[in-house]
Amino acid sequence: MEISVSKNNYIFIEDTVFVYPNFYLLLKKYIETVEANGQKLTVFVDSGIGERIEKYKADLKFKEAYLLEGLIDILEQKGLLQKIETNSYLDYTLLEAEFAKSKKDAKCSIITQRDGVYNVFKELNNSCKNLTFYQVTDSGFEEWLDQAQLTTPKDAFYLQDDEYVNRIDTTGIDYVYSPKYGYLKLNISSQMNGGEGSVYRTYNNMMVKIFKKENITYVNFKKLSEMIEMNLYNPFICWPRDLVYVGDVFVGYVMDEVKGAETLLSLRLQSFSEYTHPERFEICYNFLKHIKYLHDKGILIGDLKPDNILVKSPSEVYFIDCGCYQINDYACPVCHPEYTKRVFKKDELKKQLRTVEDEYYPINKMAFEIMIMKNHTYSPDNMDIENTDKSQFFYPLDVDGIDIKSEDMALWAKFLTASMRKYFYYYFKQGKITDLSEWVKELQLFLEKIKKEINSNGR
Amino acid sequence: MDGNFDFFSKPTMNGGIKLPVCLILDKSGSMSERVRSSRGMVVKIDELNNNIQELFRTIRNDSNARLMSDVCLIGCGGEHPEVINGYSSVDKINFVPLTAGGRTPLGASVELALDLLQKRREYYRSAGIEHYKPIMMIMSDGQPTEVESVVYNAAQRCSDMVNTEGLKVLPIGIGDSARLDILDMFSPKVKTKCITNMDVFVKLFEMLSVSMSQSDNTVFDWLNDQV
Amino acid sequence: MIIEKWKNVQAYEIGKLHISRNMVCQDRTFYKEANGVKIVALADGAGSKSKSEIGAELVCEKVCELFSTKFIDYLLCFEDEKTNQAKHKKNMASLSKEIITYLVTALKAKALEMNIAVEELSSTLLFFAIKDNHYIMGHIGDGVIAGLYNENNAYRVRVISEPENGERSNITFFVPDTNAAEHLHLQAGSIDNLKGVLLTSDGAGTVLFNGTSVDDNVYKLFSNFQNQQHTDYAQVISKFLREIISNYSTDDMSLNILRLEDADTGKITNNYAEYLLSGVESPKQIIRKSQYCYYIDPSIAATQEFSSIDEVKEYMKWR
Repeated sequence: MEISVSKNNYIFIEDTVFVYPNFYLLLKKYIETVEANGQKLTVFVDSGIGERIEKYKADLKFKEAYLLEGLIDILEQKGLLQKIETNSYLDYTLLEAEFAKSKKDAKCSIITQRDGVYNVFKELNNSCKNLTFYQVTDSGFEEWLDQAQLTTPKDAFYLQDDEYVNRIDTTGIDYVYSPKYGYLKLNISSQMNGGEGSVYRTYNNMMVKIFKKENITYVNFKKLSEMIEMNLYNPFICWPRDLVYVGDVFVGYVMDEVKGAETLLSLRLQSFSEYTHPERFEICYNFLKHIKYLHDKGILIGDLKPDNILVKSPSEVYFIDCGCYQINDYACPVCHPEYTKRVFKKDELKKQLRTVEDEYYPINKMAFEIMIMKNHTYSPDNMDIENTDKSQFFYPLDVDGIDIKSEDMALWAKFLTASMRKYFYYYFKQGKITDLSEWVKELQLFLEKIKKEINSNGR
Repeated sequence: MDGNFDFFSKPTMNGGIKLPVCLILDKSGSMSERVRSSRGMVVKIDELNNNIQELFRTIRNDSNARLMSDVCLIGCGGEHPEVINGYSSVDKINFVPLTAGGRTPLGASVELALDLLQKRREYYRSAGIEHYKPIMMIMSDGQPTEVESVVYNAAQRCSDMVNTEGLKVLPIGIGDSARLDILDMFSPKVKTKCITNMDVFVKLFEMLSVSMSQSDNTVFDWLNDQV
Repeated sequence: MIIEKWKNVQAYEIGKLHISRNMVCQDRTFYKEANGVKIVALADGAGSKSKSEIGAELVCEKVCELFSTKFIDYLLCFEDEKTNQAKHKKNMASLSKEIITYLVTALKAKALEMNIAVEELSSTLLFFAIKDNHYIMGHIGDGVIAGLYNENNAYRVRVISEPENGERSNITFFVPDTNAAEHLHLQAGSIDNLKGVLLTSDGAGTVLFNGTSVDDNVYKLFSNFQNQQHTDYAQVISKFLREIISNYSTDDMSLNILRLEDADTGKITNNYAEYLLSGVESPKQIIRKSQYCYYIDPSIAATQEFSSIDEVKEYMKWR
């Protein structure tokens, strides 16, 4: 398909579009059409495009860097280019103003490849009636269809009355059987109790989770079986490795043990006193990297909270209690009210699947807590963490000349990069999600820069 | 380096979170009476002392609870309330078993507890220390021995704090003579639990230790189920 | 009780052809264990290249070094194998390229040092790396990688990777070739019931393996390794190559064997027990697999806690 032209054409192009294979041919054809018809064209790009080019170079993606640089140069030479501030695609107000200036017969288009950008900018449809969204595919331009997937919760596989599995009282069990690992003795003195059941140490550097009677369900059995089939190789995700049985009754599952690590909660309660600021940011980087790994596989954590993350060292961040993650249409049946934005009624958790959007609340909240070491709702007047208004956020976007009295504000204003501040600010204030891939890239470059500084200063 | 902050070294600020817990313990004369339990007849104050010690032992053995808990103990007995322990971590508490005796200055005890909480909150604010919503356990086994207005004013102040989301109250009546209606005045959101069986008394402290370890509403949920 | 431990033995012997031409043996083998990874490697230097034995030795060493640090990263590249074929193909292409680039960089540096063309260091390469319950293997050129499996308490040897030859059967693929990455076959998976791995160059490979059929001697090579210290057994397999295989092949011959020994402590000598436990420095290297079975892995990084073999035995409650 082609983008329709009119007397006045305004087009906003998000930077990843430029480096899509053969996009330059589509752009060339479009510009030729407009010029041939004697029509006007303005091409808007985010004012941070120079930084993008530098990021590609820093990532050793020179082909992308030079392609982007080249196309921007050409547009500039042709007098078609206008740079506009969108704060890393999180703020469309200036673009909205430009579109508003356009006449009624103008054609406004936005081209982007990213879900996140589409979801933020689609609100422009309210103020701009002749606006169309496009993305680039191998067959040319395609109109964006409203991606409702991100926000509409779907139904989970759920059974009201479950007669498919036998249930037994699991207190006092000391041996279980795993088809893969044989008979496993449970180390009773290592017992740790949780909401769904208890966890014991066993042979082979593994742990066994034994469900409480009421949690031995067909849904759990099927979910865990599928998880085991997936056979994830990542050693930082303590994934279920096999089911365990007592006699022929399914009672739980077995997973790798993580020794010598502390939970993120414990580290937070100790003010991360054992780690330097750069090390703590490295913990955050690995934390986000592993979540991205899971999301790329269509796995949602669901019950993401500091208690379920173990840290052995800045480069060793482990995710535990994976048996209750959400995969396919199996829901995650538990949540922690402090780390969930939506309010769930008890059964809702079991019957409804969570969305990626839901997950971004604990992701942002925990990332903030790791980096700044304060709750995101913190302010010098508000020490109470159980403040029910989760949308409060007192750290300013603009940090020029602000008075820095405390370490958390110093971290926010001087240590975080401008992009990170934007990502947090727009999420907590306006609910605008920045994709994990952006976060991971940003932190990666940040840590490389810090490491260079550390090495050159001989610290 | 920026000002006083060296971003290449370890953090200097207190980034931890506290859970302030105040236990207002009835040590009036009537606590020396005996009540029934599965172990036979026991003395109320002995049971209280054992439960407190067990609570502290549990907290000390739980790394998260030990780091979070900020505990204040107020003795409600004699002529005036006594600060057995001002807010501090459980490690610093050297608990001496209470002896029963004297009157029940409940109103004054609650006022004292609220004053100490206020001071603690000011300290948190000045030090930039985040905290969970404070818990206050108000326990009594009988009629307060003060002038009605003293009790009433204390109850009003306390319930105002609960209603403005500043406090969570756990009202506990011990034994048949406990004045549940009076305790209810201090707790607009949670109905007073009357404990006549000492095994339930033990369970209360177990549930409290869980709440102090997980900073959640376990003990309140348990209380609601019981009432 | 049973002790499980991976043991390695390797040998290479010059073939009659090279003896007659006054050349050196161009086969090389290498073994490395570090960071919980155990890697065996074997390379057959190209016959027509003057310094190919140096190339063979270098690629063996380098691939072991690479996998001792990058095993987990590389293992993750295989995750899409069952769920997304297209993505998996891309991952494999990129991984092959990365491995070959690493090896060729080392070869180029060596070639520069010796003032020769990098092609003079050409060789095939076979390697098999194991960590925890997973393996990654790679194969470029000829030679065979075979595995010993325990199937219902009976042992069976199966060829895991066959030789790849070019248009003519005496032409094969080498590491510094420009299209080497396309011919590096990579595979990964769970160990499950794998109990042994054997790498061989085509010298002994064509004798011991014919298509998928396996000579009985392969079984003996594995089973005779039981209760043998690797230093003693190396001499046994060298002799086997020199005196038996050489009757069927004039090419250089080499073997690199990894075997998961399971020793019954009630039936082994004290001397052998000490041999098995040597290198164990910390409880982290002893993993209890079941009521009666301990797995020992000195390749796991740990700080020293045991100061004698007796302490190790005491920790394991040796019976």
